[in-house]
Amino acid sequence: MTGRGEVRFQDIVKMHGEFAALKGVNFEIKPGEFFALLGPSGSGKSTTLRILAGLDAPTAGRVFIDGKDVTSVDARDRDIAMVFQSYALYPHMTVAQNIAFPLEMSYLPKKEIRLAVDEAARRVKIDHLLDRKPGQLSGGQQQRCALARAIVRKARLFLLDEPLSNLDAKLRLETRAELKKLQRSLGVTAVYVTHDQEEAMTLADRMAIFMAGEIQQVGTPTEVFARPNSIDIAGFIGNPPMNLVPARYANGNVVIAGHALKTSALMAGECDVVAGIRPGALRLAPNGLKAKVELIEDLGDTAVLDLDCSGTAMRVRISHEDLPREGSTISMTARPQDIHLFDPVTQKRL
Amino acid sequence: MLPPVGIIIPYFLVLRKIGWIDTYQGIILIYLSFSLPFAIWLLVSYFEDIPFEMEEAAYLDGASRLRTLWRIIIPQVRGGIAVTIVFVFLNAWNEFLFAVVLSGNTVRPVTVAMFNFVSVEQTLWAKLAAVSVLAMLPVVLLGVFAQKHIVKGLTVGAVKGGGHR
Repeated sequence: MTGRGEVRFQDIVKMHGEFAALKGVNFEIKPGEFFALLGPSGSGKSTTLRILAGLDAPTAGRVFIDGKDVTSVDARDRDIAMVFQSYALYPHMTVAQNIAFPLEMSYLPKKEIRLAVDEAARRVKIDHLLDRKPGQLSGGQQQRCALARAIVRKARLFLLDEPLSNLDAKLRLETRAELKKLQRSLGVTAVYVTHDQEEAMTLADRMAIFMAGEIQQVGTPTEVFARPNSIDIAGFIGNPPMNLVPARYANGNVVIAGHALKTSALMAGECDVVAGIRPGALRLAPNGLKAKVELIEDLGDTAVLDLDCSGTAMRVRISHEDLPREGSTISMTARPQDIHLFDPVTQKRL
Repeated sequence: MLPPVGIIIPYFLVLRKIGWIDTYQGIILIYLSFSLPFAIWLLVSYFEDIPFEMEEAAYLDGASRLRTLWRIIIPQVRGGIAVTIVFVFLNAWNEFLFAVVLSGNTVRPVTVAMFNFVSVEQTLWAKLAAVSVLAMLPVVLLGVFAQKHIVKGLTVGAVKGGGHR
């Protein structure tokens, strides 16, 4: 079926008493897309997911799924599967019973249920654990069990609420890749909530970035990385985060700590700006921006230098070979197109 | 909390008014008025221990509220229900004061029946002892039955980080 799993949020507002958790959220998700809701905690991304699932009702606004207004439709009738952060496995049932539960609720014949359970368990590689109880599984296995329970029903929407946050670092990387493959092979629309920008960058086809109850930017990971809309996003996306330093713009140049760098921005006149340069975009070059090396974090292949640039803290990532000494002064430059300019008052991109 | 003696008179007046003195339903009503609040108070903490996400997961899996309660919630509070059954049963089974005042002629619980073996002239020790043993039997059986559930109910791992069976 085409057009399955299309989502549209229209002016969604959610109030918790006086506090506005969501202040008018609009976005669209295309069928088959892996869509990430990214933002710091308390930014409204989980609330958005809960409203989409039907677990919370919005104070104002409409939710459309596949073109139909589902704002007042019960969670159980929305045909949505969800993986919770805590997995929410039913502890008194075996893995097989857990996976079978959504199918039992739709009164499928026993034989079909058994086939579907086997199929789902095989897909997430837990078919040898079907007789265990959730309490007897490791964290990674529990997570797979929760995934299997979500995919067994072939729901039109697949919601994931920080599903990887309870796994250890290595398992998280493995599961991340598998999750993406699984979503591709099922061709299902997935909505993924995370506060980890790296997860969102690697998994998502498109993402929406939440800040304080509002969507600040929607786009592909590449777009958001290359052209962050605001200072907040610039500081949030990328690791280590972008250097954001006060500067002065004049005639195609931006002056940081007394040194002029060429930019590709085309504006008339002079004004105060906030200049953003990613740590990886800065290169060592003679007669550039001078800074003192305060600390070196050597990562093996690359190194991150903490710099003091005339009182402003900056960071630069350089390759391991060019390592200066701590305490020495280096000189750097950046390509014009790598310098982002923001308005210090409105915080928006110039 | 009031000492039980303090509310016997009002209970007596109420029961007399509706003509339920010395009847099964009268005694059941009185015991219910003690046991129900106690049972609810005891059970609430067991229900509250179940993460709310469990219910939400069931709704999203397509279960109605009733089926969620029956298939997901109740099985997880089995231990709590067993504990409550034992406490409430003991409360009612061992009650004497209300029973001896509000019943005793046509209907009587085992505690009041036992008391009839003690009189001014003599105490029938043998019968008293025999009934005492018999009266203990249901309690012991209930304890054995409930123990299995109590131990199980306390250790089930619900979400990640929960205990193991």
